Amino acid sequence: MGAIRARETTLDTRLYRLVAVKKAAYRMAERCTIVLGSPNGDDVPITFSFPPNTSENAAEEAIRLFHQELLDEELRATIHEETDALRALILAHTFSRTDLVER
Amino acid sequence: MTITLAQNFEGNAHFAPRGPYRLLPARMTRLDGSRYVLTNDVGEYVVLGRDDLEDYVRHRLAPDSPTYAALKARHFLFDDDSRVAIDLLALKLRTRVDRLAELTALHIFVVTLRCDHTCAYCQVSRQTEDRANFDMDAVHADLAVDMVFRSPASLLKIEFQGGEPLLNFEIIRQVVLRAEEVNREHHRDLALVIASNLTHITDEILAFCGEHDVTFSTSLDGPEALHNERRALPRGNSYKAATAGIHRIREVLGPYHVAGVMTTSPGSLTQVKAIIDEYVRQGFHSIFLRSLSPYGFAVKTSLVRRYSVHDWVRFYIDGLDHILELNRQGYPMREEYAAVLLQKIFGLGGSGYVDLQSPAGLGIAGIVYNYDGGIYASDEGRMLAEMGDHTFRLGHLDQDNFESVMTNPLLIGMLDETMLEGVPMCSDCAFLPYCGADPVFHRATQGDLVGHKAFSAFCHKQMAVLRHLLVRIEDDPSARTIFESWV
Repeated sequence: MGAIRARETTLDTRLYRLVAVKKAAYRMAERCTIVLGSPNGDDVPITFSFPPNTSENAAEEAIRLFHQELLDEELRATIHEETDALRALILAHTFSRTDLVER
Repeated sequence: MTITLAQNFEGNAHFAPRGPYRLLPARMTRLDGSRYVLTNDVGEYVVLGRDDLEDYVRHRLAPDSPTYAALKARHFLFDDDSRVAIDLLALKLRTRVDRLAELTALHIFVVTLRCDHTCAYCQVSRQTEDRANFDMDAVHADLAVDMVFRSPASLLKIEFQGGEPLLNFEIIRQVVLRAEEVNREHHRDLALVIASNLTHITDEILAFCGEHDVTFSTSLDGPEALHNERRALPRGNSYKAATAGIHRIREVLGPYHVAGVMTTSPGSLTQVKAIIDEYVRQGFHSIFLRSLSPYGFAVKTSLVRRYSVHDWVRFYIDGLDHILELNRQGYPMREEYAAVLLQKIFGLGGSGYVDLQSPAGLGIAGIVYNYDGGIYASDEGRMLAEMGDHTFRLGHLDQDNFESVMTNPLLIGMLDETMLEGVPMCSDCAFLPYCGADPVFHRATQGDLVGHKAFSAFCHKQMAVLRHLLVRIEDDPSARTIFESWV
């Protein structure tokens, strides 16, 4: 099989938050560069750009991993959304009872 | 118009949980092919399958399920019966970060850059033995001791490094005596360590160390042939000098006054069992399996590029397996790097190990006084300086004091950048509470303090070792028992 340089696809932003797509793309940097295009309605065009001499199998594997990462990032975004205010509250409790400034 | 209090507040229904429970802050990372690890800010963890993870996040867990109980006990969710969770998490987090107020515990004195060895992997760019202008002088030594006692830390450790520090033993003697004198007023818990190849150890030095409770750490890379292959000693045998020194220290000072560290060279990769067995033969009960760092001669000789992080991880895991087996056979043996990580996993207070902190331990966990009076934020920072990169230089003993160094905008900026909670990828990583920043490594390899973690050998190494440890803890009860005994 020959080398592959790029693959294109689209993602439905009703299923995946843009922040999750961006974070998943960042994580894939060792295997490929992922370029997000301007949204067309609910769809975001995605281009996977591979280093020279990337085999088709390696490209397929990278795309599979990207989608796996995307699902993980979606879960992370859900946890984050629900717990962000609680984390701030815990940090406030933590540091309100220290005497770091006096020390 | 009358405004009632009720108009300014949402009703109770607004604050009601969306399901039978509410999520608490958590980070998640894949552990292996089928499981995820969830951690919280205080380092507690739970391992879940994908289905359980989805159920947890989507509020579908049954309150009477074991998963619900585990997540509730470790503060990943709370319900009407456990409203105290937030207070408990705050208390535990306060315990975990309390060490930040105990700055700066480790003070490294580079008393000389001279060395009698010509190690191919030397990371400090040592100088030849006869160049006296690479020694710390008496004035700088006194100024450095004064700075040590400006630190608010109740535990202070002074570590003498080189080159080979025993080549400038007079300055070590001066520092020890002055530190003890100053400490009569300060009453700190003071530890003194010399990191030496032990070639120049004498009865006089040992007598002094015995009198002042000075301990040693030394390099032992494995069996004689492997040790001498990389640790070249012109006109001598490095292995014989090191092992004779180890025995002499134990004889005079006691069995626990010398520790060994090994550095992985390409030749070590196939010999991990022999290396560990050599430590057993020499009577050690601990070993620190260290990879090469990209500084000094290790870069100039290209040695650091001769094996990959994946090679090292295989070497490390094989070594850990062998150490576990030794423990099962009744010989207590501990791997120090795993012990640091396990302390972070099992211990409420985390670990004080300077190279795995968030923010980085730069200046606030450890500080370096170089032979020429330069002050550096870390040991690796001064190694980088010998290669011409002075990013981690914080000042000079002639011009600066503890306050000016600690409030140096350069240092504050570096600490700000190295808080993992704000670093891409790290901020979402379940291993964050067990990991730390390595700004000198990323500066050396990627040109900035943070680096892109997808390309970071440091990140690959941390992820692989932590995954391995957690899998062993979860799946191997006897390994878990041994690991717990190391903390």
